[in-house]
Amino acid sequence: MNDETKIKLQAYLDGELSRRDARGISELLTTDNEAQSLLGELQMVKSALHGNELELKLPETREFFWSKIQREIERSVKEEPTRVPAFAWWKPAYVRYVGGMAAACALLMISFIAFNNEGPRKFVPGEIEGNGEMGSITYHSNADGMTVVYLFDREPGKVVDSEPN
Amino acid sequence: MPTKQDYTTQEDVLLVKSAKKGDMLAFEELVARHRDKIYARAFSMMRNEDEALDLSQEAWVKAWQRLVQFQGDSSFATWMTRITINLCLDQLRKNKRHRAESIEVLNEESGGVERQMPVVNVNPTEGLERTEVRKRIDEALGKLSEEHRTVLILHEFEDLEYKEIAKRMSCSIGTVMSRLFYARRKMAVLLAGFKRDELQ
Repeated sequence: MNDETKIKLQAYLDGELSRRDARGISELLTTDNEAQSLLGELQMVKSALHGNELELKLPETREFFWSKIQREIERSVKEEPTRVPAFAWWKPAYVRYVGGMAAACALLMISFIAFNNEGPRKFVPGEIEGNGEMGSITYHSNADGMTVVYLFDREPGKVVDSEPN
Repeated sequence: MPTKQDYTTQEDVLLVKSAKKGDMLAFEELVARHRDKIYARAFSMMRNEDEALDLSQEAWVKAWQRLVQFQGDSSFATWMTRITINLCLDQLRKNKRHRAESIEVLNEESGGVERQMPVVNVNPTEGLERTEVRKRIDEALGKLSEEHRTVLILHEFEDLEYKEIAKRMSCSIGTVMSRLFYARRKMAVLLAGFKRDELQ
């Protein structure tokens, strides 16, 4: 009998063989004495072990054993980093962002309504005066009652200051 | 507020339900009920009292942490035993990394002397008291290699199928079958040896 057949014999005993292989082993067992003996030995060990595990008692009192477990549980709880639910980490930022956006939208709406109450306004262009020597550009608007002076360092493009009038 | 006494009459299912809600007294009762069985399993696999104690304690702490995952598909005791087995297997793997594999162990893996052993035809446990049978089986298990012992425990005591054992032991089904075969053969010889010693 080869090793494969021996292993199959065991699988037959444990009910882990396919139907086809099990049929093959059944046939073998009717004629092969060595197979019958080996199966008998495997069966004997299986039966001897069944329900015959040594019963042991934990060598510590209930209170002492539990106190160790309790201490470990409490320690693990303390050591565990504070877990923030997945959805919560962005919540404060989200609230701030949405809150800010909402406030801005509200302001815009109020301004829009206020402007609309005054009726449509005509666009009146203001006057712009440039003074290269002084290094300034003046914008004046009668409609808005406003004058803005831009001062620059004579080199064009370098704005120094602006001052509402 | 329920007292310790109130829990002693409750079934495991109810205790687990309370423990899941954070009730430590309910969990303590579960520990008290199953601690011997859990320790016995850890000891049977590790064959060392200190390691068995540490691992069974660790198993209970793990069980508390994972209690919400227990869905009740098996009994609480079975679920606990599985946690213990996994911890023991991890520990055995760690221990193995720290020691060199001897030629003797490698031989056992592939059958070694068991290949040459004559078949035991007489039942060496026949007529013995159950306590004596258990004692002899435990003694014989202690003489097996870790791999052979583990596979026998998982198959004969935990009723796990080859496939499940292979998964837990991180090996092939073929290895499980081979280990189980030679473990059984060696057990037969060891039990027969005890019988012979008794007769002499």
